[in-house]
Amino acid sequence: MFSAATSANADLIFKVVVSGPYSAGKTTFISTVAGQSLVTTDEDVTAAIEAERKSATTVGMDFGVFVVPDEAGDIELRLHGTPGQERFRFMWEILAEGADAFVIMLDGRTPHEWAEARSHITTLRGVQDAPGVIAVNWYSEGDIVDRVREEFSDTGFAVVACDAREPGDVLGALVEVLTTTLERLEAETVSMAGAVEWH
Amino acid sequence: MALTEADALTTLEERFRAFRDEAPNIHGALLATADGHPILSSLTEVDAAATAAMVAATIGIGSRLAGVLGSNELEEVSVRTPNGYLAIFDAGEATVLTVLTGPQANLARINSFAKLHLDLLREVAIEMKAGA
Repeated sequence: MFSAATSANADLIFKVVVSGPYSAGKTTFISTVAGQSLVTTDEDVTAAIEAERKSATTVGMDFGVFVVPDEAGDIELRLHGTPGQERFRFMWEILAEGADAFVIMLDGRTPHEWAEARSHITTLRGVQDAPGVIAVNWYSEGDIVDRVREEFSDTGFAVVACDAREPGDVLGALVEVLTTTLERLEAETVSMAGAVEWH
Repeated sequence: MALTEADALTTLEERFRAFRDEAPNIHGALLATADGHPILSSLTEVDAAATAAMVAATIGIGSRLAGVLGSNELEEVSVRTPNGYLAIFDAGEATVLTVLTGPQANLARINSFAKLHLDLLREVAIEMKAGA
């Protein structure tokens, strides 16, 4: 009837914000691993130029939980997906609050949108200084992942190939996220022992 | 003197339980961080993690909409359905209190009752942070 809701089943909980340009595959990424925990806020697309790409779009947020089983204690990744369009920038800022890591989804077929992805990264990091991973969706074209790696090398974000529909690929990206997050956590624990942590 | 985290949590639980038990027509409540993590919940039928995430996003949007009214002080965001109300209050210290009620509930009463208790919750939250 009444219970403390903090870390009931997991020893470590991380807030992971999944962002990136319109139609990059953010909702698909989360729904591929979230199972029954999935919450989405899809609405029909009304603008013709956006409707050419897909019929529904995230207007609030997506949410899903993915638990990484670990002998030393389970790790829970709480995935918060943002809308992609610039007009929802305020939502990127809201969701970035308290993030432990970022996943930036990119469509490998549309390099002209990468500047937009950079704008996501700048906004998110302006709110929360957290590490991140760039997940390249639709990466079949030759050296596309290498090109993304080169393009975003200054961000310090790891770059992985990730078909958002493939559980194996999404898992791979999340493992990269986890590694990056734990590394950052370890560095922070050493440098800021006793820092305030709410979750 | 700052409370230890365990003591603060116990005190917080007591306050929270008192709120839940005394509030008129209340179905349950959820205390969560402003960035979307649940702290305490009495909502067994509801996914606390997902709800806390949605609540954080909602209060974030609410705060920005408050700007449309020329205010930077958001007091409450509410959702009304034939099944009842869901009201979200800024509890201060980066925490938010969500209250679920039946359709017969008097939102004004819940509101003033919540305000009373929010001060108590806020005190404990401050102590909790000081002790962390």
